[in-house]
Parts: sequence; structure tokens; C-alpha cells
Amino acid sequence: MKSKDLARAAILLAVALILGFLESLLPPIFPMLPYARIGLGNAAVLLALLWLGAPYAAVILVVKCVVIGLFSGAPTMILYSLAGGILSFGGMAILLRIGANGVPAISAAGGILHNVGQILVAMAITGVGGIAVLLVYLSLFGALAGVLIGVIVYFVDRATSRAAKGASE
Amino acid sequence: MRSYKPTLFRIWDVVLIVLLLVLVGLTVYFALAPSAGESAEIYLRGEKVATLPLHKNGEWSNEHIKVVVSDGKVSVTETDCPDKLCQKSGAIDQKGASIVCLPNQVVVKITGKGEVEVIV
Repeated sequence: MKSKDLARAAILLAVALILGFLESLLPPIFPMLPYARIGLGNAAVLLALLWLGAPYAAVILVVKCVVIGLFSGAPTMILYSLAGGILSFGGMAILLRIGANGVPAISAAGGILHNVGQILVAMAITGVGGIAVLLVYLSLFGALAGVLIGVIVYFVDRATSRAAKGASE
Repeated sequence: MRSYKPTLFRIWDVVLIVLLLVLVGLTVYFALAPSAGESAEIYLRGEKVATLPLHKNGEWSNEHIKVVVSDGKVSVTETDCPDKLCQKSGAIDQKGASIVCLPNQVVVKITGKGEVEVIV
């Protein structure tokens, strides 16, 4: 079972990196909010959380943040994406453990927490509390992006678990 | 093996989203809450002539105006200008706040840690 999980984790990491790279090539959705991104790579992290559990998913998250940060030519962004990523990851892992919420809502929570983490880092680095105003827009955007990712993850999970059932029967 | 069964929507989602919005609101509220400054800078004709720390009492004056720090707040207590707007401004202690006396060309400004220009 272990090697199967490992193979799945590797595939999900590859998917996370590819989605992350693709997204870093696209222009920002809102020119005035260049940091508002859908975070397609998080779909892979959430899938890993669903299928493989928190330890695998955490590794995928950290590797994704570091590699994309290094390769997209903005190493300082690693700090932001890691802070947002870890906060968002922790929230989603806890919510999954509780198990009382649907996937889109859990993902939306992750999206909001991601932006909260990033803004907290930005406030710590610059010392300007006023940045927090951005959080109003960013968290709404994060919630919408999160719902979108959550819906995608839900259907991917449904499709793959059907396929897996069909293959094993 | 896995206990969580993925669903599109559960009733707890409403509670979750409301909680998160409250969390964001609180974060924004506390981040924007005004904070007291550390010292008062006094400018005469555009030049800084004195810096008074707010944590201890002190004063600065010239022949036209007297600026006093007491109880962590700074105020103009005496002035010979006609409108006395600076005196009426009262005592200030919030970061970024200022008292201006145009006739005497005096500006009192509160500064503090963390007052950094935003570079975008």
C-alpha cells in the first residue's frame, strides 16, 4: 500500500507544480490586485489531503511553494506562499478531520485562510497595519476561488473513486 | 480506510463561512485600530527643531508658542496667534496625528514605530 501512496503523492505533486507554473504564466485576473490568484495548484494539495492524509499533503504543499517560488523568479514570494499555504492547509486538515463540511466550503475556508496568512506576513514585514484593508477584497476572492477549486476537487474525487471501484471489481 | 465522505454541500458550511467572515472582520478591525505613537516631532518653518518622547512629560516653546507633553499626550497650551486653532486642536497621541499652527509656522507630528512608507 505504501508504494501506491508514494506513486499517488508523486503524481499529485507533479500536477500541483504544473498547475502552479501555468498559473504563474497567466496575467493577474484583477490588475489592481496582482496577488489575487485562483491557486489551481491547491486543488492537488486538497486531493492529496483527501486521498493520502495530512503528512503526504503537507510535503506536497511545501515542495510546491518552494519550487514554484524559486522557478518563477520570485524567491521572496516563498515566504508569503508558505505562510498562506500552511495556515490554509492546517485549517482544511482540521475541517476534514471534523468532517462536518462539504468540500467546496472546506476549500473556501482554505482560500480565505491563505489570504489571511499572506496579509499577516506582509504586515509583519512592512509594519504597515493598513494593508489589512486588502483582506476584505482578498478574502472574498479567496472564498470564491476556494469554492471553485472545491467543486473541481469534488468531481475529480467522484470520478476517480468510481474508476477505482470499476478497476478493482 | 478513510472516514470523510466528500459532499458538495452540508448545512454546517453556512456556519463555517459565517465564522470565517467574522474572523476576517476581526483581523481587519484590530489591524486598523489606531495605535499610540512614540514621540512628538516639532517642526518650525519646515525644519525639525525638537523631538519629545511621549512616555515622559516635557515641553518645548519659543516666543510664540508652547508645546507640552503630559500623560502621554501632546498639546499646544499657549500661543499668541489670533485664531488659536492649534490650541483648540486639543491633545493628541495617535500615530500620524498632527497639530498645525499656521501663523507661527509650527507643526507638531506624532511618529512611532512601524510608520513605514508603503512601497508598492
